Amino acid sequence: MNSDELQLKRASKAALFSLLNLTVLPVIGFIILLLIYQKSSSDSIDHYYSVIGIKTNVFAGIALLLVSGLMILLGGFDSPWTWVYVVSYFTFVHALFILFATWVLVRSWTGEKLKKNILSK
Amino acid sequence: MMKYESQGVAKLYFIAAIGLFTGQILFGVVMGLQYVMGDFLFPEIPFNVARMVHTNLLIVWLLFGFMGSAYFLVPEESERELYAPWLAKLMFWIFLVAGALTILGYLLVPYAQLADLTMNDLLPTMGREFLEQPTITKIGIVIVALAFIFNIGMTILTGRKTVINLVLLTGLVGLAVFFLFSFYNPDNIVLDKYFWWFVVHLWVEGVWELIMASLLAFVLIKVTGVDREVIEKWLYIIIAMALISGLVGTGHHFFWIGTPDYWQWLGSIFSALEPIPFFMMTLFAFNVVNKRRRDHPNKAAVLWALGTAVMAFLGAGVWGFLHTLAPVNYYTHGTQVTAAHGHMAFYGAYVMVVLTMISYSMPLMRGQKAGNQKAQVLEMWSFWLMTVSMVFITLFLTGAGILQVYLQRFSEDPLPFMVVQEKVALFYWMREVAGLVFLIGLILYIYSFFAKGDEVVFAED
Amino acid sequence: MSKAHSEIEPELLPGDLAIWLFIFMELLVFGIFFIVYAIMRLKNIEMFNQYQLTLNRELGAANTLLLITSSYFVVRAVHAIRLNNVSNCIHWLYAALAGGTGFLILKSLEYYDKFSAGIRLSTNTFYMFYLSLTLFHFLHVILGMLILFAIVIKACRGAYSDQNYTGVETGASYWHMVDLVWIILFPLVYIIR
Repeated sequence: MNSDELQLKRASKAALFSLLNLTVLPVIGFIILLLIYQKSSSDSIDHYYSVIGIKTNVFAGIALLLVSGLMILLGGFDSPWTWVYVVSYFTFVHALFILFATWVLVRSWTGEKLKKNILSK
Repeated sequence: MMKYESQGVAKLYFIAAIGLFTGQILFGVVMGLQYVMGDFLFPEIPFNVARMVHTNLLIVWLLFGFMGSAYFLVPEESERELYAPWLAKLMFWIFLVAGALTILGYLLVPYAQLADLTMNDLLPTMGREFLEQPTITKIGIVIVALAFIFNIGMTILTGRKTVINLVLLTGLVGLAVFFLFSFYNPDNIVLDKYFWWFVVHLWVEGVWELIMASLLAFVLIKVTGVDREVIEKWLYIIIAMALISGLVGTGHHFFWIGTPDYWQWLGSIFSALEPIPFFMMTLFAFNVVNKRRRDHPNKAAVLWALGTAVMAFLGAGVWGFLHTLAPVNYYTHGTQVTAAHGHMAFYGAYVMVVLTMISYSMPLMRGQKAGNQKAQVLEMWSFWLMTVSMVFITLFLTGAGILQVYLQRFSEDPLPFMVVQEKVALFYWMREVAGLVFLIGLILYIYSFFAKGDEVVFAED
Repeated sequence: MSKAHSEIEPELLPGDLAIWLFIFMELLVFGIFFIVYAIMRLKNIEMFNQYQLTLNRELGAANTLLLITSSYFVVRAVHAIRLNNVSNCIHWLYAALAGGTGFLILKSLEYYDKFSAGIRLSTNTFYMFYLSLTLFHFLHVILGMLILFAIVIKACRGAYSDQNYTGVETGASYWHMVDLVWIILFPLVYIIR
């Protein structure tokens, strides 16, 4: 296996663990993602995808945990309206992050970088 | 432009499907208003009748859509003309007349009188949600379905067999077989509900998924030019996961209806996995579109196909998972959370897959490779209007549902149902507005078939 | 195989990538099932221990042996096809199928015994898990055997050679998973106290 292929494997692995961290393997997925990042050399495709994965998951962490936490803090734990916002918000935004990570995963399989809207091509 | 002349029968089915779809949405908008203005159109169209018409029209038009899709897909996949095009046309008219008479029956006579008129007492099957059809209509559906499966089956068996048409056939046979449970109507209300789910659940979370996967795979092969071999592998995994999770997943309906309590375990475990096949469909569609070998001139069809994959995952997968675990469902059972899930799942999975098929095949049946520029732009606008408004309908109903759960079931001193309904009225108003936007999207969709404009320039052949 | 597909295929995993996706999802299903079993056992430890004794460990152990042996046979089958020895490969696959059949027969005897003792899913939580877990696995053995049988048929038609044996590896991978699940299931449900 040459180094290009190896990089490609690691890139798709990075994208996969970014998705897993968002779904069934939270925290563990992120640690593995960091390990892949560490192993990659800058300018390579696996570096590119591990950075995207880390960014996605940091944003997701802020958007989901921090914002939901703030909602609960500001809205009050015992207010029904807090839960109306938190549950709908968390479900919907979480799903959007999963969809984005899925698209990234699919892109990583071809070894290309992310591009603009697929339909505008 | 069609490869086989007999594919053209699909056009009849699709026109009827869109017509009934419009009826469904009109009744939906009426009913949405009745949530906040209870006596709107009373006594002409009471809420329960509007609801029955709304849900029954949905099922009937989706069946029209599936049949039309199958009539278009199967000859092309099997590489031969339809076994009996005349039978397909005959069955169309029988089904349309029977369907129209049934809906008129709902609207014009009180339900009890309809039961008398159709001699329900000989073989009682009426009075159950979604299966309200008079027994004679149900028998009609079985006859139409048998003739349809015979026609499709003979075409496939005497033609080329592909994974796509075999999966489709399996799904359609399953659809017919599980419908037979609608004739079984035990006196015991627990058993009644138990077997009722054999139709409803095993349709939408079982065999319909096979139909959906094969239709989506067909359109994706056509518009992307990706290898059949790749697509077939995905299909195998998707249907295997759909069946493994979906069959025992029926248990998530058996939590609180008087069935043994092991269903709480089996139902929770297996239905928690039900998002997987939908997620696989998203991954599959993304992957195939990403690897496309050509840019098909029918951009609208590609948009619908991707939209189906995304919305089915959101509606059926995410919103289903939201309330499928027994401890959660203990609170959410039968609230507006269910309605939110139902709307987005039916739209995202089944409505959109039929519209994808229509979008791909209608131009071909009208002698073009794709709709003209203007038609496509309009169609894509209608896509966004309908899809985004459906997202909002879902979010508003979810909001209403959570508030309802809290005030009516979770709170220390629960409020009565009707008091809570008044407290969530704001959500119902917003849902109604979103519903009207959906209707506008639908009108635009229908208009797009008549729009005239510049022909699309083809990149190839 | 298409280029598009092989691009995403990690060499580390023998057989088709698709079967691995499927295997991972299957393991996820069983994994959740096992975790739930473990939690319920902790909550009802005495009841679980009491009824565990009614299970037939000898039959379970024999079944474990059968599946492990059968797994070994598919390894031999893959080995044979790599050496381009098609008829040997087919024989080993038949041997593996025989192991699977033996498993199904012993398991059916066990079920017969339990059902005639009046044990049902609703008898108690332990039997609920015992029956549903083993039955679910039973269905997987059948599916695995169907896959192996399909490979036998294809092999008889000469579809495999030392150049093209992905199909055999694919089926073998699935069969190993069925074996692996049983190796976890057997001690978990029959033995661990």
